[in-house]
Amino acid sequence: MSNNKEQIDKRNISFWNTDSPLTSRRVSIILNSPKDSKKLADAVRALRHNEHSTIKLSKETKDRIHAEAEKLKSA
Amino acid sequence: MSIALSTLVLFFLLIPGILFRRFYYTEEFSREYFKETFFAIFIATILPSLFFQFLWYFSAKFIGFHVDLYTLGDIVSSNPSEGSFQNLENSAVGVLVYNLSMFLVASFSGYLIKRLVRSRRWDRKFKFFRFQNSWHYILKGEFFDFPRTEIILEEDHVEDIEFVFIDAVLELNGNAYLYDGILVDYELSSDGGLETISITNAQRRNLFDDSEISKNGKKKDNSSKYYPITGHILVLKYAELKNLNFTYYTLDFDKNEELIPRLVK
Repeated sequence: MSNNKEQIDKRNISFWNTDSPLTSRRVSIILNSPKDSKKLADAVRALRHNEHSTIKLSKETKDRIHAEAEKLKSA
Repeated sequence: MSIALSTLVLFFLLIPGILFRRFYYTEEFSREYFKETFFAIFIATILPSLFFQFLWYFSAKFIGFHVDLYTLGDIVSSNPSEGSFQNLENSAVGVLVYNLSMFLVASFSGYLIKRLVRSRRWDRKFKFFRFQNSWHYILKGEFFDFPRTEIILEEDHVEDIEFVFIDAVLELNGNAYLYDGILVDYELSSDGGLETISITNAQRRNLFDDSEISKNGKKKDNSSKYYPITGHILVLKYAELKNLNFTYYTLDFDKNEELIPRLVK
């Protein structure tokens, strides 16, 4: 995964899609995995206690995010 | 004057405005179509109707077609002449094409103008274009772009918000509980208010089990006080909530290329 801001990490609106979703496509993929979804929520809670907590995503979720990013880039 | 007939003709004349409004308030703002008062709906229907009726009348004249207002006036009069109905019958195809084209353009205009307002973000920049669904702007964080808002995003944009974390206080059997989780869905009520919010990875604790603040200003860990709620989503009824806290997050990469949540700023 690159550090660049891609469409997968934004909730863009366009002329034909004016209703932005509640989550970015990337977060939507994370939420689809119960384990990674919990990691995301736990990371937020840790952050609220001033703790540094990264989200170590499962390989499946990383692959899905990567594939989706590629799909969006080529679209 | 035939009241039934004149009412029918008046309704027919208002159809372009009705269609314009119907197609303007679609998708996330569809409830707004039914929300306004009768007077507001009447005014919001008359103005676009007048616009399309005038536009079509003069456009038809410009391309050489004659719109016979006398016939229209005569039909709704107390004593309509047989000739007016005969005239209407003879021009039935023309009248049909004239009105159907007007209805089609009015519908399409409403649909396109709404998309233009949203995609150009005019509803965030100008109050005139703002939709009344205030929950939409709060839940999606779009209120950050309102000119009058006191909180602005200096580094990020509204589009950078990747998810919203919710804290909700709910009273159960005389005890107040704090629920938190990631917002995944919401439902609006028929009056445009919030009906329910759905969160995932929810947990709850008694409101009395607040974090203690240490001398250096840091929150002490109170994670053991939380009770995890298993399940895909937890639906909270807005009517039962005491208050709601919204926190808007994006995700960054740390030096090890791992994701880390960060507040939008």
